Amino acid sequence: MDMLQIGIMGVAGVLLAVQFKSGKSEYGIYISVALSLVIFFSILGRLEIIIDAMRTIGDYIKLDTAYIGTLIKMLGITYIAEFSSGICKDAGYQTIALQIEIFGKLAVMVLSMPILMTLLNTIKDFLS
Amino acid sequence: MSVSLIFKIAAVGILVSVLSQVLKHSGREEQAFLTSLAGLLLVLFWIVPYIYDLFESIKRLFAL
Repeated sequence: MDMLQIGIMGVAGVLLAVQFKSGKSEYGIYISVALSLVIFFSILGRLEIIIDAMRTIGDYIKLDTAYIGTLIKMLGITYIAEFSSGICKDAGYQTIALQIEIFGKLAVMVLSMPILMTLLNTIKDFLS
Repeated sequence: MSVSLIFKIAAVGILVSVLSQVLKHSGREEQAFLTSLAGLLLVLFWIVPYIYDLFESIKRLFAL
């Protein structure tokens, strides 16, 4: 699934979906959902390679695996939030897309809270 | 799996819109609505397992 195939498939799918703009517009949305699913499955292959590389880099510098884990989790949360809010925006429901994005941001913040706490504690130890 | 899914959905869409036009003009409103409902269910039946796979693989990959 190289770049050329993805590009051609995207354009073909969009041209197909435009047909349904006038009559049954919900099928245009289904086609866009199906298209993003298909492209996502090829994104997944690339992501797997990047995440394995990140893990090995984490092992080299003896970093605590929890930090790398939270980083990767944040990546996953933002990706799902973007994916679903994009689909809601396509369907024309901006408010729901906004809610999903806000929830995604909060989830990432909650995930980063313990790391922030450890940082502040180390700073406090230095000062005291 | 991939490209045929998109063309299948497009085919169902075209079929349903043509069928509902024909049914509307021949005065059978309910059947037109039923055909579009059937088309909706069919497409959803195809798409839902892929969405499930999507979220399963995200959960597995990102250890969520």
